[in-house]
Amino acid sequence: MSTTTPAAHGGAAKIHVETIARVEGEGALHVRLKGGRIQDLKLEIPEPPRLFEAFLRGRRAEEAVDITARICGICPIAYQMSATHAIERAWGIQIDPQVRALRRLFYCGEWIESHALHIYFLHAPDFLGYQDALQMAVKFRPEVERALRLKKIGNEMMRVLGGREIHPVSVRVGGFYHVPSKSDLEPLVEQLKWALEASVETARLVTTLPFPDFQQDYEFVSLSHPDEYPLNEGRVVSSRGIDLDVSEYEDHFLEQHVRHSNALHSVLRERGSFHVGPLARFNLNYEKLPAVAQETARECKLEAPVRNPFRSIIVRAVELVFACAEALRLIEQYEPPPRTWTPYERRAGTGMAATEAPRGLLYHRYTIDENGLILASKIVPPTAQNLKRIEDDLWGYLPQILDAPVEEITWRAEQAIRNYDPCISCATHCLRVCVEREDDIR
Amino acid sequence: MRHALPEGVRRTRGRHTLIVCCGNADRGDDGAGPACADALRLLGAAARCLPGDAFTLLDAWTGQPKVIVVDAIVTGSAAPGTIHRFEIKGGAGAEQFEARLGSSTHGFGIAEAFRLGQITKNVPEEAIVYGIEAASFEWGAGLSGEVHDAVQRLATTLAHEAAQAPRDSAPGKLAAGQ
Repeated sequence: MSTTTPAAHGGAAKIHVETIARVEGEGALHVRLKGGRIQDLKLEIPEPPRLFEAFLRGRRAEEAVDITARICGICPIAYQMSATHAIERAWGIQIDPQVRALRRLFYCGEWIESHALHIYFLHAPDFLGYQDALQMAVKFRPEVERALRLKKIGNEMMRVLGGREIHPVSVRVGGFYHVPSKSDLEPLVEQLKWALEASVETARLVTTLPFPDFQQDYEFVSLSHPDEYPLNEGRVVSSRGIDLDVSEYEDHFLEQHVRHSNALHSVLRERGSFHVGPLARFNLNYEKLPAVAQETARECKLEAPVRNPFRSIIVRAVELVFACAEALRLIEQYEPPPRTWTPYERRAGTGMAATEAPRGLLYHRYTIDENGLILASKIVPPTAQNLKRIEDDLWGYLPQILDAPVEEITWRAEQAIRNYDPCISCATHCLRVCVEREDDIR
Repeated sequence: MRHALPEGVRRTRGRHTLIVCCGNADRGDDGAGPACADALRLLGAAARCLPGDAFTLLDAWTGQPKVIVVDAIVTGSAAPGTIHRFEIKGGAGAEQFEARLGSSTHGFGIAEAFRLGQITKNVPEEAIVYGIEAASFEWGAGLSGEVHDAVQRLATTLAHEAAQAPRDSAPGKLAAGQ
């Protein structure tokens, strides 16, 4: 809902959008314009802190896997993966290679579900001029039906591997409580073959969208693995030379409190904001994409490094292609592991892990006592890492469109925020936008 | 936050009326739906408990000719515990429900499910939405007394009507504003 006070010549204009739909969580953007310039810009996150790190103190480390999954209904697997890997690192647990492959397959399901949701239902309406996906669906019914089916396939993968699609219950420290048989996975193959074709069609579709001419000199940060497109393992690398083990993450990345946000802002020490998510993964790992995804990227004229954040919608579509192709490969090669989980001994220690949630790198750290109880934990979700970057994008982008009517400035600001598919629920929960114009630009 | 262990769900498609209860048990009166599902199960009636987002609803009612949806609602014009009843045939009538629902805590919620279902031709021929007027959505607060009582009344009526109804017919009606 929005209210607009038309600008009077020589007076002030104010736009107040009570809620920005199509983001996960609640936040607000406040922009004050004067003399054709931005005077102030704040991405405000008034949502109270969710205090998960405090809830975890004194709990058995194994419980972190299921407790942290409740942080998000869209990407619970990401939380389960980062938590379980961090605890396994703390306890020196080596998981079975097939368990590792199965976790990767599990993650593919979440990527398919999340990317299909964002591309079609959250972001595409911005480009096509629709208030929401429901309005868009009237004209784009086949495309919306395709999105629904893609999303359903992602959910089905999570149900088969995790017991249910939202907050799955199969993952445990050391492996899984239950693993599927080969025949359990077989019905997914035909669905994924369709999904692969649908993903390529999705990339072709979104390539035709109108993209603002806007580029930024980002420092991209993602995981990087020598042999595979990053999901649940790898070193933390950046486009400006960072290359470190995840245990060194906090030596380089800092979380800062800012007055206008209850979500912390991540920065690179002495460097400032950075960019995590599909664009970063694509730019830093293009050569690891399977041939079909590279071919799709080439067809979409997507060449790394992509620096226009609006084109992230195409990159997400390429990652959809990747996730479907990778899932098919993993299912083809799958053999049930000899044991579903590796036995272990609890001991005192600290473990860190990062995995690639659909929205970007998700870091967890746990310090555990000799009884296996959590003494301290740290969770850095991708949206918290991107929040300062989103503000920086808006500082760079909005001056390009300050001559536009305030309604359009508001629309474009929301679109720019959704380039990052922000999950404010994870970072701390509808976004309000307030643009105040203190002059007579329009 | 939902229960850690998945409930046993009797997936009955086709002839039975599907009862879907939506909401979050940990968010005060938003737990009306889950509480109604629990009450129905104790009374021997099958009900699915869903978070209430449009996508899972669309999936749940695919192929179902008749659906009953139970959720918390805030119209602001009725006392907490008031049971609102909306009849939706072939997706038509969701507008009045949407207008009275106000905002949903489930993102793409029930109203959007009906609108999307209409566009994609995936909507039950007949649906009844029972909205229980909520008092508070405070985390961890549990149900308010008025909503708890309304849940029990609604569950008893739905279970009774489900037991009485022929296999291929819907549970009967609860008077509007009861």
